[in-house]
Amino acid sequence: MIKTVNLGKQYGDFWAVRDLSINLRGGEIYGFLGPNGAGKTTTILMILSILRPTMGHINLFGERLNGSRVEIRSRIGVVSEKQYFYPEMTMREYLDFFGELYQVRNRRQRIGELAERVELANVLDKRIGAFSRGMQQKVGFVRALLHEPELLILDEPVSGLDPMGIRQVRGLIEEENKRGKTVFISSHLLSEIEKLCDRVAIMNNGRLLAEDRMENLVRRLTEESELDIELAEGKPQAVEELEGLDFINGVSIDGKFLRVKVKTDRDYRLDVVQKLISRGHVPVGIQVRSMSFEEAFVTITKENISLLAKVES
Amino acid sequence: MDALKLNTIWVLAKRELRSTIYGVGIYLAIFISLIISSAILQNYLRAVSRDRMLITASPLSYPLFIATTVCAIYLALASVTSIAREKDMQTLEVLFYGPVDHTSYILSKYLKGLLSYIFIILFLAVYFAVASITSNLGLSVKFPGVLLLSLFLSSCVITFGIFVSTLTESVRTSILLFIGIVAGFIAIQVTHGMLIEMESANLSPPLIYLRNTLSIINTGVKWASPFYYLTEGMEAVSIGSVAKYTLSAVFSIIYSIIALVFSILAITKKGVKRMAGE
Amino acid sequence: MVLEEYAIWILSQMGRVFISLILIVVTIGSGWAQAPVMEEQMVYGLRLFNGKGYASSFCPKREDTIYIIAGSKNVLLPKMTLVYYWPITRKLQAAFKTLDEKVEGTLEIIQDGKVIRNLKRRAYTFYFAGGWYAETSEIILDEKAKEKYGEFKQAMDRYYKLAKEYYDKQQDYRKQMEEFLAKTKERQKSGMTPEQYGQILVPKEPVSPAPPEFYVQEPREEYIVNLPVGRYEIRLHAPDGTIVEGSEKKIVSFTYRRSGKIGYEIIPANRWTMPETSSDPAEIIYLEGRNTLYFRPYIQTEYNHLCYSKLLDPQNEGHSELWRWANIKQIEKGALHLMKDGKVVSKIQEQPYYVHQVPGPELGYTIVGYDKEKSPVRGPSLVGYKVEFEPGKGGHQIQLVNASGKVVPGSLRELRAIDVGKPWELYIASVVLPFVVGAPIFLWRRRKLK
Repeated sequence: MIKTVNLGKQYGDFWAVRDLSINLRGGEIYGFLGPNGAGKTTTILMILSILRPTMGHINLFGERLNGSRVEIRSRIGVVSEKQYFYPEMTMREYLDFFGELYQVRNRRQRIGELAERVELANVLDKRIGAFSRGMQQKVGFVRALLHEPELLILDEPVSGLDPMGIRQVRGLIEEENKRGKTVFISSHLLSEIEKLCDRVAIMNNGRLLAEDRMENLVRRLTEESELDIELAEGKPQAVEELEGLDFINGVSIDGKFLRVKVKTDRDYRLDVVQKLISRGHVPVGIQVRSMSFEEAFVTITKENISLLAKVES
Repeated sequence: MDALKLNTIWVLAKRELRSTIYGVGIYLAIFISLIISSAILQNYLRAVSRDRMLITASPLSYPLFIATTVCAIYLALASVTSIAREKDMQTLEVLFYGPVDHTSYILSKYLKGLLSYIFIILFLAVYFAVASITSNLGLSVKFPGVLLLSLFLSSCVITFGIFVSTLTESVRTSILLFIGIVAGFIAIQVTHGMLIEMESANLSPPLIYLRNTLSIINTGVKWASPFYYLTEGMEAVSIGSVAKYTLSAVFSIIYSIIALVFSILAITKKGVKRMAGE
Repeated sequence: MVLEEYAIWILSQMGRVFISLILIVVTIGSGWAQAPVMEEQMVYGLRLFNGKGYASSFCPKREDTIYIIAGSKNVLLPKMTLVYYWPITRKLQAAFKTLDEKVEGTLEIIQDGKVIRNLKRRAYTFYFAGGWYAETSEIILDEKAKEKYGEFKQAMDRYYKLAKEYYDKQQDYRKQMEEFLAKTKERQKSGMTPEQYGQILVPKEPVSPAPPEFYVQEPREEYIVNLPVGRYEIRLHAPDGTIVEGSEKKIVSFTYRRSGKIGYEIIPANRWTMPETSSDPAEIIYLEGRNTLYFRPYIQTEYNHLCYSKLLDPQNEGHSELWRWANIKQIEKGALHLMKDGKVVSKIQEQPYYVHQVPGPELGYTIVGYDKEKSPVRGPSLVGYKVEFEPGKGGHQIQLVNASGKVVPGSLRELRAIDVGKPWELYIASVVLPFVVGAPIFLWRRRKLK
């Protein structure tokens, strides 16, 4: 759906984005992460042809972007971090304007339906200038969905929303994804990214550091994970019995709870449980304790770890 | 130009036109232009009354010229601030998320300006019809031609305003720049006009040099100033020259096209995103 | 913000420069009180045919082109004189009374680099068939000029002789009148009744002789130029073979675009010395209140505006893309129809009129019908169609009909009475129009947004 090849944007001597190669596949929800100033918004603006790249190129919907292709933008819906409106317009007028711009059929009906979905149907004829930040964000969403785009580009889509609003928007995104829309989300809210995204890309200082599924990222960052196993009866010999296994990095027992450190090259839970059972122990519960995604994100960006090389190898 | 672009131009222009018609500014401009025209017409009628007789083919041309000039200045200011205001409000960027490109955006501004002027013409037509009846001046057969020509001439002023607007990032700067440029044009033309009236024998060498320099600059200013086309067109009407009338219309179209092209280039180069710190 | 500050700086600098320029110009302008600077130059005095007579002007050094009507005889008078700038008229003037020195030589006419004619001075005179103040005149050349002038001189000699006789008769008449009045006094004193007077012969006042109706100027010798349509150069070859400095000029010989159209000279009764003209049938004649107008229709010829304006005076400005009408010949013997809404309301015949000055300290005049018998000496002041215009809504029209009763094409003009009446109507329209449309829209919008 979106593929950038060595994309870069230079301002004077400063590279806002450099050598960015990402690949967003059709039908997925793709998270685009990075601290402030990483180059996320610049990347989005280049994808939308609002900024011209200094190097590299972009393929959008399988076609290479040369200059501004307005008909391609008709297939994209964009929600920016902050919403900007014509303050003298009502919500209905604003949406009708964009609906007409995108040549949406039955736009009045579509506006009504979408307004219902975001619970703004009762303020359709009110001036947008009087809306709260959260309401404006929802209007932005509705605007982005009006023309049933194939691709949604969301820059901080839940910014300014209360928990109910966040939930509504999350629901919208998932719903639209289920309807076949590809979603590209740029956000700081890792919790939302974790809940929504199939894959993520992490940027820092204009460069791409990682692009993979979240669990893979976490896994690639850590050498081991910890299994917390609850036994029916805590027997110290369980420690010795497990330590002999080659995939076990360490075992300790605390009452009925065994803490087993295993390698992360694959899922060893079944092996551990089978070993315990074969030795007469009765595991009643097992939990995996690994690095959280947030910890992984902070680690990657703070230490500027590039996981791209590991992917290629 | 494909159907999508045409639709974009039309929808953008329509939105802005609605915003203009819902506002107060356009009615204020019409009111001011008509008040000034009324004063001129009254003075005119009094002068006719004093001399008891006047022979002319188009007595309403001069008041119409004044009304057109006032409205053209309003349109120019509206155009000058339009793009800068959208950048200020950052709604410009939002438009470019959609099927809007630089060309269709600029053309929509132009179309909105023309439609605004046509809206104004309706008022001028009614006013001058009323004036012609109350004063018994009558509307000459040239009057529709004059109204049509004024549309071409206003096109120059509108496109000039659009071009100035593409050069700036804020409303205040665009107004200042517009006033500065127009004041500069007027200063050069007025000073040049005064100096060429004087005999060389009565001018010192520095003033002769200034006059010669201003002559060259004035030639350029003449072609660059949209108000030059306005005055030339009105002169064509007042002296009844069909050739000059046609040339005025043609030159106005060429001027407008050039200004629009430069506007598109300027906005493409500067971008639609408001730069930080502006 | 940087651009904004820069823009403010530019404005302030421009303001300073503009004010400085104004001060300079005003300072220079104050120098106009000084005496004009005279420059000795070779100029061409011009007596050029303008379609009906001869216009008098001159071509100074700074004007490089002389315009003439093709196929007409035109007089060029090369001379040395003093030229000065006159700011009131914004034109150069020639001080012929101070210096008027003929320049001798042969006038060469050049076209496409070749000399096509060599002209020497010829005798010429101007013949005014209608007298000194006649609009039209014709040029007569060579021997005929002298003959014509001879005729004029003879007519003038006859007139002077008759005038002397008249003077002598006037003396006799005065004596006779004195005697008559003395006798009348005696009769009154004596108490005689009118019946006892008997036959009384009142002395008859002698009739003053009429001067010649025509006028002929004293013949002179100058260069007569008559050229077909085209562009030429001229220069004066001095007797020593050199080209006289300042004598090289261009000549543009032009012709008319259209001829035979009808224009009017319109003389308002309230200012008869300041007539107006209407050349274009599209023109409307606007009048205020009741008006008495005298219409004098002319046959017109259309010339290029630039060429004709420059013909009248080489220092005039003109527009090459424009055309102007010149009155050539007055149309006589017809009728003027005054119409309202297409219907003829009156048919007016052409009549002679006389402007009679109101005697006494009052300033003013009245225009009355001319009676030759009552004023054998004086001719009519004007001949035209008298139209009494009454104001009203809509318009009147006038149209010329020739002696055979056919409408003369192009003679239609519209007359309209201006209504100065109620000035507030216009101001109210200025307010009402935008308000009537804008206010409802504005209020509707506000209500919708609430």
